[in-house]
Amino acid sequence: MEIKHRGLGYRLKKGWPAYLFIMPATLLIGLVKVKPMLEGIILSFYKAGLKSKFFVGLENFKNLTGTFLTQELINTLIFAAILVPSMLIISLILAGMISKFGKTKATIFRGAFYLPKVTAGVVMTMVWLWMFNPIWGIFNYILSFMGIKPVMWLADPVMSKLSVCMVVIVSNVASSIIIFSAAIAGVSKRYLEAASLEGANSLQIFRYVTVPLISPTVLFLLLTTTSGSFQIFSAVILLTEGGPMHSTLTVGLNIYHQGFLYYRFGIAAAHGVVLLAIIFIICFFQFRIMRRRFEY
Amino acid sequence: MFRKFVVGLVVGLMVLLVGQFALAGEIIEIDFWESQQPIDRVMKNVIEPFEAEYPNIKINLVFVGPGQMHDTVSTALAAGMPPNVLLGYSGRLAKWAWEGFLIDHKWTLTQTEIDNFLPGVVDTFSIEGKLFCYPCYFVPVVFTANKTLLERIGVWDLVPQSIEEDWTISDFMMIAEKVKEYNPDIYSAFFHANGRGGDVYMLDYFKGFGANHYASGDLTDVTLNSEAGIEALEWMGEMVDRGYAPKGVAAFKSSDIAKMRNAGLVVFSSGAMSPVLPHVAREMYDTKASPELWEWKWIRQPHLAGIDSPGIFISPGVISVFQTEDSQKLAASILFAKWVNNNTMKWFTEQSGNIPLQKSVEPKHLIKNEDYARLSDYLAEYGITDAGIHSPHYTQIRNLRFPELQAYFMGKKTAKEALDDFAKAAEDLWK
Repeated sequence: MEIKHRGLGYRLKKGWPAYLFIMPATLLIGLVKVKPMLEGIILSFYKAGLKSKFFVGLENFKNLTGTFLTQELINTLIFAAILVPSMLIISLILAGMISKFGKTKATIFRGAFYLPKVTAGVVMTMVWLWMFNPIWGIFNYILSFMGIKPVMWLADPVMSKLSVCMVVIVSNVASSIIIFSAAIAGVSKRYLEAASLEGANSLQIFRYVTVPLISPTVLFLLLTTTSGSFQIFSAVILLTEGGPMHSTLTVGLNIYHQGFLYYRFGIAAAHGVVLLAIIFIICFFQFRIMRRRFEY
Repeated sequence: MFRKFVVGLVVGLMVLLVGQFALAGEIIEIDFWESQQPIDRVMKNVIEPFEAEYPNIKINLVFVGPGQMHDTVSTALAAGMPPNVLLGYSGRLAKWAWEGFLIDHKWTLTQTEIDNFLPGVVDTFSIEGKLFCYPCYFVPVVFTANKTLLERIGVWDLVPQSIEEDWTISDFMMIAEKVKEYNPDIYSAFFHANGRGGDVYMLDYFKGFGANHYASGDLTDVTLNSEAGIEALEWMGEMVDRGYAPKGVAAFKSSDIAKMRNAGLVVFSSGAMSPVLPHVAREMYDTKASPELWEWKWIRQPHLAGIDSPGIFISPGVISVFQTEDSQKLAASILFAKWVNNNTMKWFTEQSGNIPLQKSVEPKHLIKNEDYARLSDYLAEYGITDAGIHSPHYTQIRNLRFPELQAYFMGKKTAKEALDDFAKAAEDLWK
């Protein structure tokens, strides 16, 4: 049977209550998200300082090749490459484990994992800085019992990246756990029982039944985690300020430096536009690839 | 005489302009941003008395956290909506002054008021002869020694007992060796190369070798990579290699100094003077931030033989007035800023526990303090050394220095390479 595609007028007439309900949120998102984004794109074509602003076309983008497409982009890609799979795998495993607990236990564990999320970021960072300190930090204190020499957690280019990733994962994994838990809870018990009757063990049921059935959630978290990882900023500025030797300088932090330290607002905006494009392209392909793998 | 006439004229015009509005019954609103004291106290002690005296001026007080002040004002400037009057830390103001956002405060001050500032103050806060703020008070950056711990180690007698006594880097190294022999976990110095906050503490060590950002006074000529600067940095590296200072410099922040001091893990340090003040030490001990009631003494900074004793770096609080095309608002802003400067500076200084930059302000918390008296004498003799605060690129330069210092302490660059690269990057800011 041929499906008739109706016009916009018909759809508005038919679905006006829905449009009415989403209008406030749409307007708000437009005002606080889309408008600044568009203004940022426009600003990237200007040489803009504190006082002056004039059109320079693509000049800001030409200048990026010397600074932008080198260390901070590589650092950002490394962070994303570590953070996205780690956060998804860790949160999926933890959510799977929590789903096996009873209601009370599951609530306690979810609450425990969520605690870092509700703690103020600055406070959390202070605690992490204390733990990473090479002289009185608890990590080196524990390692000393094993006869391991003090590790320069934040004073070594490789270790500082891993340390920042550790902080980001612990601070942010909770949201993914909650979302995965909700998705796992929504999987019909019938499929799990059927797989069990067929002789599958818990691990096989989780891998071959649960995970495929929650693939839309995996896609959602893949997209949001990817986007968030590319925009990594607060953990870096609070822990390392991009150091040592720019080894944790990310695109997000460099945007801040260009804008608020050097007052090169146009160049900062150009960095932002390139970052936006990169995130968009990666998410687009993730979406296309993952959508084909939906099991239902 | 001419100056007096011009200042009189400026102030007279301001009062006239503001008075016009008073006669018309109109209210002039001033946006006052401050980052120093809680709003309720400022309202009660500053705003209310001022508004009572000038009922046609309304002060809109906004508290901006010290950490957010720079970004908030920068955003406001870019949006064309800066405050009218700002009371805050001055390290970020030079750029705004350079761009012409701040008025020249010199023409609102009489010669007597200018002379009332401590020696070197007006130059430190001037760009091309224009004073970009009313300097208020400061935290001095001084060299201090943990007397309690040094006595326990048995080397206090080797340390200069007072600010009047001089000593050299060689003397300092000799004591450092003895401290290490006593306990390798106690250090004689602490260097930090991460984060811009408190970066003058690190610069202070350079000063002992006769190196500073702008030795020639030319802001475009960065001289930290001079022979003296290279020698200073190599000395710091040697301190770390010998175990006199802890490893991990590339990750340490200035806030770590306080932890080291409180824990008794470092016997000498360059930093804010406040821990030397007995009431601060007592408070640290009472709140259990410090496990022992250490007695810290302010001592003269060790320096290379043949190098003059340096002046003092300061971390200052100031008041600034932003330019506005609204002449009435500008007049009222200057009136308010001057009023704060003349009438409430003592209060602000006492509240902050800092040292006044004006001779006439004598806060009660400092009058009987021996260190304050000695500091005043020292400042009168050696003055203030400018760490580059009045460079329009001061904030950016701070950001460029640390990666290079990190590279040196991580062994990726020599002291010369690191400081040359820093100087080049800093000079490139002018291109």
